[in-house]
Amino acid sequence: MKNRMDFFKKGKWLFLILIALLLLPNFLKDEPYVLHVCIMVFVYLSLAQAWNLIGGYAGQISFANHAFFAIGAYTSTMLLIYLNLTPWIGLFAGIAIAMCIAYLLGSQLLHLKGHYFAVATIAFAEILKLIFLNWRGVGAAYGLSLPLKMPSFYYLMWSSKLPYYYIFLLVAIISTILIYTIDRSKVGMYFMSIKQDEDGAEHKGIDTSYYKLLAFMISAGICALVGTLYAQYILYICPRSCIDIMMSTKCILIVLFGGLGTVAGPVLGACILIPLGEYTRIKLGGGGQGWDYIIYGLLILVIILYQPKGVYNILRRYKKNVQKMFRS
Amino acid sequence: MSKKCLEVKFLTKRFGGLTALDEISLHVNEAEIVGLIGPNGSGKTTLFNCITGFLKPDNGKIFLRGINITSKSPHEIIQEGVSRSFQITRVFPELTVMKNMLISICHKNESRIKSIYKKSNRDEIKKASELLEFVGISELSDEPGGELSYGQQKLLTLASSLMQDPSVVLLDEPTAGVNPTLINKIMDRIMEANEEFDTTFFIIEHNMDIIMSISTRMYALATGKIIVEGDPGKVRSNPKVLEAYLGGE
Amino acid sequence: MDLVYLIQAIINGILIGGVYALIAVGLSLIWGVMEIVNFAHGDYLMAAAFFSYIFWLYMGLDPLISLPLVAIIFLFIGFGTQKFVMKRLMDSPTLITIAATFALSLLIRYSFFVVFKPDYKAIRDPLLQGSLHISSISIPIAKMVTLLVVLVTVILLFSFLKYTKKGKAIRATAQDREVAKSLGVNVEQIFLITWGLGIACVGIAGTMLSTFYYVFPLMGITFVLIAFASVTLGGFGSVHGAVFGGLVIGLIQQLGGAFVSPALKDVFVFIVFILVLMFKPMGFFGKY
Repeated sequence: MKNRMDFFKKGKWLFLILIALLLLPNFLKDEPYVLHVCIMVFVYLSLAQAWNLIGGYAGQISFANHAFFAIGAYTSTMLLIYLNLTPWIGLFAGIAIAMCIAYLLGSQLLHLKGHYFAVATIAFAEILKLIFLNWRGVGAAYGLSLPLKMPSFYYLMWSSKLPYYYIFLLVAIISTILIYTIDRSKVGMYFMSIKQDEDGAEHKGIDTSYYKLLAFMISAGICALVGTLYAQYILYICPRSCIDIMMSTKCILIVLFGGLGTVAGPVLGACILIPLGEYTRIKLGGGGQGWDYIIYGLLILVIILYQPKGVYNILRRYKKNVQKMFRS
Repeated sequence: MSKKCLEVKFLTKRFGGLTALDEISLHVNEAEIVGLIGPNGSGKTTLFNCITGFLKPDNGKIFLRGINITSKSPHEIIQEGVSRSFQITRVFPELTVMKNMLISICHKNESRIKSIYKKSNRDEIKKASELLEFVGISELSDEPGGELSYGQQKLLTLASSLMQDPSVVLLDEPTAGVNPTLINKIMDRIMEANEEFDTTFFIIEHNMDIIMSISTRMYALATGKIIVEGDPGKVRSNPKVLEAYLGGE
Repeated sequence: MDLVYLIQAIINGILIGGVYALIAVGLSLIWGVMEIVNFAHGDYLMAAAFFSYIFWLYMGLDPLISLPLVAIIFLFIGFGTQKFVMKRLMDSPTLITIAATFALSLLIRYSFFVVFKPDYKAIRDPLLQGSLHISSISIPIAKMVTLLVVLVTVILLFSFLKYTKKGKAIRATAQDREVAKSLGVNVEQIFLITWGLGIACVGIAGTMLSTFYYVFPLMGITFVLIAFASVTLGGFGSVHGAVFGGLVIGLIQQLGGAFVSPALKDVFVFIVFILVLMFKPMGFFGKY
C-alpha cells in the first residue's frame, strides 16, 4: 500500500510534466532552435540512461557508447540508401548489429578492470572511426547523405522538427522507464552488487560475466536506436560528427553530474547540462565548441570534488532536511 | 555412516616455487561442524579459495555431495550450494541489509529474462526477514550495509550465508576482531543453525577454545599439509599441533 | 621489397618512437605510483608545445633554448595538479579519478582551443632545420636531436629512480604504498614529485615536438591514445617497459603506414593495443 500511495503522488507530478512536454511544441512553433535544443536534451537523456546502465549500475566504465550510436546510424542509413528499406525496420537492424558487436567486444574485454576496460573501449571506438573514415562503402570521410523523402511517416522523415520532438521524447521516456524497471528489479540489484564488489557478487553465485555483458548489450542497443533516429533527423552522417568521443564523454558527465546509478540523475543532468552547453556556445560565441566543454570540465571538477554523488543526491538531501525542518 | 558433503582429494596448489597446499585430502560430512586450524600461512584460506573456485588447483579434485566441482567457475560452485564468508567482512556497502540478504538466494535455476523486470518475491523476503531475526539484526533491515558495525556485519554475513539453504557453509575466522559477547552469540547461532536446519559448517578459526567447543571434528594444517585429524580433544593434545604453532611464523 | 624504403620506415619509427617513449614514461610513472590514468596527458603535451610556440612567437626563443624553461614550468604544473586537484581524490573510485583527469583534459584543451582556434601552427625557421642524408635515407635534424634529448632525459630519469634516495622512495611507493609508508616514506611528497616528473617529461616531449610537428589545440587526442598503447604494451608499473612500448608502437605505426596504408597507420597501433589487452594485459615488462 505504501508503494502505491507514493506512486500516485509521484505519478501526479510525472503526469503533469508529461502533459507539459506534450504541449510545449505548440508554443515553440516559431523557435526551431529551441525545439532543436529540446530534441538534443532527449537524445542525450536517452544516451545517458544507456551509459547509466553499464557505468552507473554495473560499474563498467565504457567509452564505446558513441561507437554503438554510430553503428545504429550507419546501419539504418545504409539500408535506406542501398535497399530503400524503411528506417522503422532499419532501426531494428541497427540495434541487432550493435548488440552483436557489443556481445563480441564485451566477451573479450569485460574481464578487464576499471581503467583498462575504459581505455580498451576508447581504442575500439577509435578503430571503428578510422575504419569508417577509410571505407568507401560507407562514404569514408565524406559520409552519407540521406535521400530526402519528406514528409513521410514510412521513411521517418519530416521537414518540421515537431514529429522528431515527439519521437525523441518517446525514446527518452522508454529509456528512462527501462532504467526504472531495472533499478527496481533483481537484475538491477545484481548490477549494483557487481559495481560495489565484483568478487563479492561472484561469491553470491551471481554470474558476473553474464550480467556485465547483459548491461553492455542493452546499453549498446539503446545507443543504436538513438543513432538511427538521429540520422533520420540530421539527414547527414559522417565519422567526424557521428563517431566523436565527446558524445560518450558528455553522457558520462551527465550521469556523473546528475547522479550515478539513479533513475532521475541522467534526467536532471541532461536537462541542465545540454541547454547550458548550447547557451554558452551561443553567448560566448566565436570560440565555437570550446566554451561549453570548458564549462563541462569545470562543473565536473566541482561536482567530484564537492559532491560526487551528483545533483540528484543534493536534492534528496535538501528534501530530507526540509522535511525534518517541517516535522520539528 | 554419514554421507560426505564436501570432499577434497589430493588437492595441490603451488604459487611459483611455493607449495601452498600439498596433496590435501579431507572431508566434511552432512550436518557436521568441522574446524580447520593452523598457523598463519599454512594454507587455510588458500584451501577455501580453491574450494570456491577462485583459485584453480594444480592437482586434485573437489566434490560437493558427489558432484565434481573442481573445474567449475566460482558462481557455479556457489550455486551448487557452497556459501563462503571472509576474514574481513564483505558486505555490499550501498545495498540495504535486506538487499544483502535477497542477493544471497540460490541463483541456480533463476530465470535470467524474468529477473530483468521482476523484484524479489514475497517468499524470499519472508525468508530473509526470518534469518535476520535469527541472528538478531532485524531492526537494521533498511540500513545500508556499509553503515553496520563490524560485529553487525559478521552477523549479516552469517545470516546471508544461510539464505540459499547451502550444502556447506565455509566460514573464514567468523569471530576475528569481534568482542566476546558477540563471539558467544555468533557461536550460538552457528550451533543452532546446525541443530535446527542441519546446516553443515567448515570453519577456519584461530580462537582455539571457540573452535574446540563447537566442532565435532577438526583438521590441523601446517605448511600446506594436514598434520592431524580427529575430534577436538585429540587434536588439541597432539604435540605436532603445538610444534606447528610455536615453531611456525 | 625496397630495402631503403624499409630502413627509412624503421628509422622514422625509432625517431617518432622516442617521443612516444618519453610521453609514455611520464604516463607510466603517474600510473604506476598512484594508479591514476592521466587522460589529460596528451593535453599537457599540447600545452607544452604551445608554450614553446608562444616563447618563439613573442620572445623569439628557439624551442631548444626554451626547453629547460618549459621543463621547469611543467614540473611545477605537475606539482600543482597533484596538490590542488588529484590530492583530494586519492582514494576515490576509478570512475571519479577518470572523470577528474578527463575534466582537466577538457579544461586544458578547450582553453587553448578558445584562445588559439583549431588552426595548425608551426614554428618557422627553427635552429634545428634540414636533414641528414645518407644515400637515399633522410633523417630530419630536428627529429634526430629530439631522439637525443629523449635519450638524455630517460637516462637521467632512470638514474634518478635507481640511485637516488627519493628515486628509490618513488619505486617503493609504486610497489606497495602501505609498506613504503611504514618505512617512513613521505608518501604525499612522493605523489607531488611523481606528478611533477611525469608532467615535466611531457613538457620536454612537447617542446621538442614543436620543432618538427604542427602545434594545434586538438593534438593531444592522438598522442594520449598512443601513450596508452605504449604503456600497455610495455606493461603497467614499468618505466623501462614504457620506453620499449613507445619505440615498438612508433615502429608499428611507421611500418604499418609505409607498407599498408598511411591513412590506417593508427589502426595498427590500436589493434595491437587491444590484442595486448586481451592476451597479455601484463604487457611485456609489467608488474601486475
